[in-house]
Amino acid sequence: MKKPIDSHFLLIGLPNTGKTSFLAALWYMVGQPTVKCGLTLERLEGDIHYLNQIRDAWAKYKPVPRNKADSGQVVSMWLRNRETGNVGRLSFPDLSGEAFRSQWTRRELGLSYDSSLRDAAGGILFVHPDNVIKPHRIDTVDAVLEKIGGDAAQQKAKTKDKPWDSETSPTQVQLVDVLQFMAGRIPQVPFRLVIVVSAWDRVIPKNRRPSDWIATELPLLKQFLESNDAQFEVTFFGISAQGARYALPHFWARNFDGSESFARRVCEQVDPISVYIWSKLDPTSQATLDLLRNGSDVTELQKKELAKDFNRLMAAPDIYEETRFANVELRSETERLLEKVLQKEEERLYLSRFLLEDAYPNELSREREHAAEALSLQGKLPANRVLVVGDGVKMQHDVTEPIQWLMR
Amino acid sequence: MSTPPSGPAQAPKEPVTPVIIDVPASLDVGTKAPEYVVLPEGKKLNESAALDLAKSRPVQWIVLAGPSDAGKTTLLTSLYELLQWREVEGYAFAGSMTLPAFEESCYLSRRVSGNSKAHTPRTRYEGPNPLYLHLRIRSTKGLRPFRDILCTDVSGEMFEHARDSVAECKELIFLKRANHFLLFLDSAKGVQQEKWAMVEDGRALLRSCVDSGMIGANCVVNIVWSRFDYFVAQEAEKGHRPFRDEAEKQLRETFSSAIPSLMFSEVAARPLESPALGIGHGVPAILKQWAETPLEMKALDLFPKSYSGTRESELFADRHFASTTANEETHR
Repeated sequence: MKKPIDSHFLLIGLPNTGKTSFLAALWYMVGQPTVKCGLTLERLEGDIHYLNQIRDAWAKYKPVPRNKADSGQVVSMWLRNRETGNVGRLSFPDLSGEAFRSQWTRRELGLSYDSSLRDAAGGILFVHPDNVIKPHRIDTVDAVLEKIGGDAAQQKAKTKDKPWDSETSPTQVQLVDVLQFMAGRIPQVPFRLVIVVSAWDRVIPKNRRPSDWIATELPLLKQFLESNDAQFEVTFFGISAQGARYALPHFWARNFDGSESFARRVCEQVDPISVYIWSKLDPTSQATLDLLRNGSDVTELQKKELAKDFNRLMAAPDIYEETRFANVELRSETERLLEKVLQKEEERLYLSRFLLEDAYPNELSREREHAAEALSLQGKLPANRVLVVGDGVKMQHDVTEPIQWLMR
Repeated sequence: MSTPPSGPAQAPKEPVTPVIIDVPASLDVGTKAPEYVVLPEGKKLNESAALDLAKSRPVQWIVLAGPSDAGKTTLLTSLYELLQWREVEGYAFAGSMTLPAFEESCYLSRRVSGNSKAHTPRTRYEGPNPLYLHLRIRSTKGLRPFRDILCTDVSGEMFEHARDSVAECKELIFLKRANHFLLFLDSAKGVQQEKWAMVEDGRALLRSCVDSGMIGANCVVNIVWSRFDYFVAQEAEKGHRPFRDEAEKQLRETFSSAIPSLMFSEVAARPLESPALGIGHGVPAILKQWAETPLEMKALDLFPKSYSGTRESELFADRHFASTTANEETHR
């Protein structure tokens, strides 16, 4: 056996970029003697409670619980390459991604994070296709066609000098700035960097290479990495750790099982939100709600149609009005989405769904419809749902491939 | 810069090779709680910070001059926006010390702002010292040299006094450092009655800069017809070409002996009047010129009185031994 090389690697990324799902799959795979993968666990340092929690959820095809805050405690795995005997230490100083982002938004870096960074030989940086903020200009498409009129006052009315919100900056800009900071703190160059595009099963077209995806979706980042090739040695992977999307924001028929109290509030229009909903529903849906209110039998088809009408209502941009929701206590997730400029349709649907759930906290079911593709995974062995794509990948179900590249 | 009073002990590190942003190896916690390292804010650089940057690597100093609302900041933001999507004229983005400042300037032109009309916030007048935006690019061809560019982002008001007084112009020491001086002539005014007054204002400013010795023979002077989409939109109807030709002829006659590198460009950074020109019309050619003009080292002894940096000879040595400049020599 070769002399083990002890190198330290980081697992990093902005919030909601797939780090937790990756880690759940990794913890499952390196801990299972029957699962074929390139690395094996030597030892672990830190609290494994959370790791076990996400691994169990992952193995049961459930959404992995998010790590909401940075505990400041670094958990590390010592992993040994089965072929070479090389040992690498993988640590994850901030799974929530908030500390990582605060480098951009608050221009500060946690000391524990900094300490991890300053003895790291490489890292895995996660990017999620659903969470990419692009630098779309107003005048690239529609506004160019909408030629400005001559009335200066009218023109002024179209613009608002809103203060800049750094969280809305393009993802590629945030990542480049953080990498610039990293370049000033890493102990040696080149710093080995794996860029992982998460949820690769949802990237279209299927035959795309991860490096091509980065070049198209995050071109500034690609230029930066190529320009600074003396500082960063980079490779790209596409990884689907979950195998599919597990839950949807839409309503489905089961949300209206036992929903008398919800139907009553809406039908009786006792608050501004119920007045709004009632006015937006079509007469058939109003009739279905009336039946639900009275405890009458409602068919599955009627519930499905009602769900469809609610989904149409959720897609409307005007659900939220400050006065309408004045007496509603909004949960933090809802507030966060309200503050954000939402670019994805799914995010807008989640915002509407959260608003409705907050308005009817005890009356409206929060059960999410499981995506059909997630149900289809149930017959597979947990590890077989993992998909890894990238140059030099030996086993396409082996989630340890990026770490092997770092340890090579 | 201070060291935190408490916190985990930090073992001394080998010096790192900084790429773009040099975060000091010692922990700077400033006035914040000691559990954080404070990172550079990324705002526009003042003269002192710009000169610090010039100590570590060769830079192209660019001065954008002209009246308010002539499109100076918009030219810079449109260049930055072009790089967001692709390489420009064979040059790739390689970094910036002022990314947040660029982002703040671009924000009101982005869809995320919720605005329906693109807008660049007007640069405020904040005294006679300029602020700079920084951009680092790298050629994608040959030896792939880097080029660091520092562009002034100053209010048009700063030049009003300089236009009217040679003595006031001499106060603008940063002008003497310029490798490129871009004088903006606003085409939106060029299609109106006041067009000759606009040209005369530009001529007066340039004359003041030349007469005061603030820009000389080694500086590339580029007279930019900004917001060029106004000319294009009205060309068929009103035929502005003869006016432009005459204006350029007169300016050449006035300055060709004092300024060997005098040229004219057309720019429509945000061409709402003639969308067919495309976003950033004329901007790539200007970037190419900045990237490919040999660097002049002459301006580096021009420090403001407040600057307490090292002497020019030391700076020169620093620059020569900086690792990132190896390719630069070949390029020059």
